[in-house]
Amino acid sequence: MTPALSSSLLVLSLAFPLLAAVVLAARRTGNSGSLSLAFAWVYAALASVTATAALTAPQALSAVGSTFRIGVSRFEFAPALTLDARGALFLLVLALCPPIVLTLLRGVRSSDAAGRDARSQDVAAWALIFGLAGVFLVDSLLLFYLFWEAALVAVYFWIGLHGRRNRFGGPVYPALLRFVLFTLAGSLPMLASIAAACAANFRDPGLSGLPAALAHLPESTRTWVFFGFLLGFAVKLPLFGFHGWLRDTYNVAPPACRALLSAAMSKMGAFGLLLVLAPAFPDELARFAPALLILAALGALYGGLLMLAQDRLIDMLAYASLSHLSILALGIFSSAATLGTVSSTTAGFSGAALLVFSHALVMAFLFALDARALPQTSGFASPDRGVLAGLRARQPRLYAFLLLAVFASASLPGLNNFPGEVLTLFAAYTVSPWFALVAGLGALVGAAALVRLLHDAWLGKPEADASPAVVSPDLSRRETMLATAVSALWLVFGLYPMLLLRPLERAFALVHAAGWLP
Amino acid sequence: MINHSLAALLPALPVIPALSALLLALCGGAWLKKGSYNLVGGTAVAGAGIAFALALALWPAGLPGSSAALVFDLGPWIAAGGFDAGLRLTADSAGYAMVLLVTFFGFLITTYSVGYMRHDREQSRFFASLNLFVASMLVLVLADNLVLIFLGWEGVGVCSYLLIGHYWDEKGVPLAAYRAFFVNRIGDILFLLGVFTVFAAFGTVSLSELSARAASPHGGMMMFMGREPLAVLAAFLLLGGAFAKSAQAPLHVWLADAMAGPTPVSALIHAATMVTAGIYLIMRLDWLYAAVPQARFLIAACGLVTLVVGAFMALTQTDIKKILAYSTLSNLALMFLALAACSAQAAMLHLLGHAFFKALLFLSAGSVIHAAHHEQDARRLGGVLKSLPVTRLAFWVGCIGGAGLIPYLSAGFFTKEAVLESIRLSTFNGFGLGVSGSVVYWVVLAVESLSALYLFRLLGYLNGAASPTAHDHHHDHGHDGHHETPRETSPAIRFVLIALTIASPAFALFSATPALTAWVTAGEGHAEHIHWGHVAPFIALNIVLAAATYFVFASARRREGLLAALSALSWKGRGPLDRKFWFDDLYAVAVVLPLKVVAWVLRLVVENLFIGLLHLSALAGRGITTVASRAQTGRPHHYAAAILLFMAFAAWFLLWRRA
Repeated sequence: MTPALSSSLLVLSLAFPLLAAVVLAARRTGNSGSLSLAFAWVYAALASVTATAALTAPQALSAVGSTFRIGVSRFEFAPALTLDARGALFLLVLALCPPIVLTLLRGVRSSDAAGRDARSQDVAAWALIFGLAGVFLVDSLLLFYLFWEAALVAVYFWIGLHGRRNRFGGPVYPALLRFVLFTLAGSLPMLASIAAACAANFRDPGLSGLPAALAHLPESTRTWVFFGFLLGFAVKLPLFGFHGWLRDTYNVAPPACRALLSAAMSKMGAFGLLLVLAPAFPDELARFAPALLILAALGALYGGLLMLAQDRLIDMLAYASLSHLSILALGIFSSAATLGTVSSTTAGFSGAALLVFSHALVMAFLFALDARALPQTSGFASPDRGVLAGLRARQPRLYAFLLLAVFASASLPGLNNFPGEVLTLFAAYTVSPWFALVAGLGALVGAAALVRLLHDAWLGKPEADASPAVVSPDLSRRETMLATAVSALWLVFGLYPMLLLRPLERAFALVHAAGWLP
Repeated sequence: MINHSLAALLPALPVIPALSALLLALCGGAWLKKGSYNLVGGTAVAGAGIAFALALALWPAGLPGSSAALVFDLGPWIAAGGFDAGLRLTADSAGYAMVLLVTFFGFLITTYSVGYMRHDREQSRFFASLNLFVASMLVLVLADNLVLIFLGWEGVGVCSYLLIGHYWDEKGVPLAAYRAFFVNRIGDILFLLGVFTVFAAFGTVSLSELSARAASPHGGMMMFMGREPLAVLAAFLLLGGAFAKSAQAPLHVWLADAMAGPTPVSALIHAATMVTAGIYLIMRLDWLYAAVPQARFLIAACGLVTLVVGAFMALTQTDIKKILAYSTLSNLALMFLALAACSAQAAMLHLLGHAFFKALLFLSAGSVIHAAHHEQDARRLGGVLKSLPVTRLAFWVGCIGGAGLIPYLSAGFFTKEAVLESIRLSTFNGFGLGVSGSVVYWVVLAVESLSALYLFRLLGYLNGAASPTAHDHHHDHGHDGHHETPRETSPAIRFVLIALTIASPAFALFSATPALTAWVTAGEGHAEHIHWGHVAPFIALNIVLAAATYFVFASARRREGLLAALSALSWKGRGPLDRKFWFDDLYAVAVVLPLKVVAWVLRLVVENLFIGLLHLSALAGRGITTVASRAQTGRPHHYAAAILLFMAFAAWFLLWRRA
């Protein structure tokens, strides 16, 4: 692949969501849903091609703009895009999640069915995707921060305009405000760290240049810079203790927003941990690994246990997200802890990268099905234990795919979550068997809770009053085809993960060569 | 020497039933809507049948009794950062026996299901799961490393879960499926941790490599040097997985509930094949367990508990399938006891024998249930066998086989003898305790004689006098066509019953020859010689017990008399048999309750702390601003004072402090 082609692919992958948002915003007519869906499919093709190119290329793809010098200090800044095998998985998330979510939730609109409303949803969705694409693609720190906050702004407007009252009848804004405050409390320290990294060099070192740029900083400064970044990523993921925004935000967010929040936006945190912290702060990560590992393992267990105490599918999925993402973080911290030691392994990094991709594919699907199962007007926001039963009688196909997705999220071998989870737990085990045990227990409890809820709501004798007003119809032909295609992806990457693992291992070995003993 | 060119057949074994499962999952529903019931059943039978044919086609490779193995390597499966699990299939002598067992019963029982599930409107899902089960079981059997075994292990678990929940809108069925899921999930986590421990201890998860290393003259010693704690840990963790899958106490609670699934499933998955996966796993890890006597002691202890629980529970059940399920528990315990006695050979023999008689029993029971329109209560099925000639013969052969009454006719006779002999010759040591094998032997022998009681009690019910309650029951449903006597209507069911009625005694004859022992031990082991003089009294005793039980239970009057006499012994519904030896209560108190309490405490207290933290910081912020705004009084002299104070402080700091 020529450099010109690869750089134009990168630029297109970044620019397309912006273009889509602008086109959708500029349209005067009401229903923008089908256009948005068409954009989603085009972007799926485009971004998949870019990601595949990055996965197969021996070196990272890159596109570098001309260098600017700003101000008296001649601050040097060059806008650049880059994508290697590690980033390719994040881009794949962006490629595949929007079509899944938009197809399944076509019929599920915000309560206000007016055209303007729906259109601003779609604009917000593409603005969010634009922000995420920027975070995953750019190489300069300043742009990284800009896109990071752009994603937040998009979500803010999406939820603010279309959110609905949460389960306690509370209004949208307190939950939204909390989300924004939490996120800002993380991202402002990150900005400070970015400023420190830039100021130390009088230029923007970019993500790829960050390790070199930080090398000559005094150790105490480095530690502060490290914590700034960590805080930003920990809140976004979220790591245990930083998850206070999680449940209520998911509760008030509109269905499609919720699905993308869990599937794609949480991956910003994972991206930061995996592609920023791990290469740039190996010593700090290793030093603070015990505390971080404890947080991650606790998060996995805590999420699983809290799932037991939830009655509604959506709340369970929120905590399932916490639990799974904690396992992902556990893998990253474990590998970081082993780097440079005798038991050095990149299995945790590779496993976490696999989990990024598979967690997104499964979670987008689960959140979409959760919203798809019951009409928004039915009075039930989400399938609830004990209120409904026997939904399966009306939704056999939906139940089949829901169950498959739950199995995938429970890391059934043969489905896509398994290779990632095995590798992360293996890495955790090499640090200490206790971490693997605690995280494994969390996964066990969480899976049990989900299956139990599915049984309560979908199995058993159907309710007599399960009228169409209360229960949505089964998956349509088109939805079934989509669901089948998604499950085929789960199967392919579950049965043959080497497709992704080979390029990943190569990329991680390249980046962490210094600390990695073969 | 074996013929390695046939190794290319190995991947086809699991792939073909998996493909037919996929086909059924995708198109089965549409076929059913068009009424092509035979297409659905036919596809499933073809999938399982081709797998069986392929298994037979492996015969010329000459595996039975050979110490060599067929190997097919497809490269890495999950490999990263030093962790390595390959897509590598292998079949050795014992493995080939398992392959034949799985495909033979898979094929027969799929065929049987075509008759049994004839009128089921969701049979495409049923057959897809059944084919997927055969595929997963073959992966489990053929996999060369523990991670790939886990793929099959979880696959069979999921199929078991799906099939238990087949009648999903009936009461109690979802709960039964959930319990199977939950208990097996516990085992799965332990299994996975065990796999990591094996990797941490020995640096590989490939079983052929590990056992080759253990078998080498010096390697075996070196292998465990300095790694004893890890080896012990691995043995216990993997044992947890095996106990859950093979239903050993305390992880046995799901098996009796699993009878909520259709009867062919109970025969194939919960009797003949899947529940023996744990035994198969421990067998393939025999080098590990040979080195860890504590683990074998635990196997023996749990095996004994399960043996007793299973046999006694089977005595009082009235549901036909539950009687057989508890009998399965106690037979699985026998296999584990053989493993505890370091005799993988005896365990494997009884695994095979048990598959034959238990599948036959379950399928006969299924025929009864099918003919009686899904009535499963033995008390209401008095004399039902009289109108079902093929089933009656099959039932008799199965009961004789299960109770081990007649040496060359009972599929379980020689295999049980092998187990008993291995127990008698062994000693069980661990945790500072030592138990002589002969003590265990007598206990097992006594408990095993109960099998004659519970099987012939069941036979007495089914083959004896028609019970009065049966008529009441028919009157309850007076108008829905239950009046006619039950009949064997399905040719598929009859065909399979006849085939197994022949195969079961044939296996009994085969099990008496040294050829079978040579097969399951790759030519190394030798059959234990049977001391007929020693065994004969027990055979006689068992026959007397069986005959007496049959005599009592075949007559309604004698049966009622005995039950009335026994009811005095009951603890008013609170005895061990009524409470299933309190294992369910144990779970409720020791597992479910603490989990729920912790979960709700976390939700109501801890979770609010995290949100409360934010509120607290908001409060603090408000407090600071309030205090700060108080300072802005608007009076000039306050400001002047503040400025003076600050200047004084600055002067002090700059002039005195620095100096």
